[in-house]
Amino acid sequence: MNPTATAERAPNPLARIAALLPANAWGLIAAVATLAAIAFGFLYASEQDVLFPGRHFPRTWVLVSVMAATAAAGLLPLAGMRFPPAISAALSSFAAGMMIFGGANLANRGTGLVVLAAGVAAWLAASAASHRRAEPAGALVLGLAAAAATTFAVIAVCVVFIDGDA
Amino acid sequence: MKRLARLWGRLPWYAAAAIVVFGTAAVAGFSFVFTSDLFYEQCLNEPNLLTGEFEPSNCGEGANVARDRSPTPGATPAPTSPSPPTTPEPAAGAVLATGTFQDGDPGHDGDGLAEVQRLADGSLNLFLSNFSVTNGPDLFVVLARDPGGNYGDGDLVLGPLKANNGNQNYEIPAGTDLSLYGSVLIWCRAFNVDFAFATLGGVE
Repeated sequence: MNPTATAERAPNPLARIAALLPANAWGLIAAVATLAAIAFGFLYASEQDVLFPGRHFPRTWVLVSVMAATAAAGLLPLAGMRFPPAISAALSSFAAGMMIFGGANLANRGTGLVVLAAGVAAWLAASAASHRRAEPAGALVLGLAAAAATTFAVIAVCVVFIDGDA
Repeated sequence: MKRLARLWGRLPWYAAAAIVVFGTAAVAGFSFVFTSDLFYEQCLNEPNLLTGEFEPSNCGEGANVARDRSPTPGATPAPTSPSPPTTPEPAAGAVLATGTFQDGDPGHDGDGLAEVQRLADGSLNLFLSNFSVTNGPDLFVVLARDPGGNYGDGDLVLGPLKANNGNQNYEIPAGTDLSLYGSVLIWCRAFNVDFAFATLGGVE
């Protein structure tokens, strides 16, 4: 069997799913999922302060705050602001990616798992929106890689400069 | 960058999808295993095996989640208020050494009391009370030779840390010569970092 011929015949499932809704609808789904992930991230941080009375965990607050800030920036193209196609795709992928990699760091608790799941949903929806807008697929991967790098940078800053609890 | 984009564009969709899925899963999995503990607080409250009683801890209601799935027998979720002991029987024993936890390497804080006990049945036990330490990956409880809590050759690893907060027991192997050890150390095996230590005093 010629694998190239098989590949040409095989339809891209993301393209088929993307075709189900218009780009703006996918953008809205991505935005809602990202906002849900942000909310659950803050819930995780506040839960921890409640579970351990009299203590405060700045590392967790720093992580979820950076996740929220970067995700908010990533929502700009989804909110309708005009960017070059590659930047738009990279930004929305970056926002969802922050929720995925940040969520992986919170996945020890149910609330953190919701962050991770919402991040995955946001990335898939952002990818579908990007596909419908014919934005370059490589930019999505670049956004995801940037999110991973940013998450590890935040973790490094937390380890070096911020105490575990106060 | 353009060459990279062109190369990515030439990949069949399934190859691109595999790279994205496996790459993302690998990075997220690494984060979960090695860095998520930095943002996660746990608590385990076990009774003091010497007195048979639960002691107050620094954990709030509902915080009793152990890292270890098989806590010491007798441990029950009793986070804040001391509850009537059910096990074990209070019996004659002795506290052989105690120490107060101090901060370890920079950025790693410890608090609480370490107590080396001889139980009524003659076995040795390490009890950590009102204990807390900065959480991290791959943490172990160690009897260290160095009173300053630096990990080194000949140190005795008692087992993985059950939770980074609460009251916990760790069995010390029978026949251990306690005079060899100067501190209790919370040690990160993966990155060889000392998280907290308690210098022991009064070892018999």
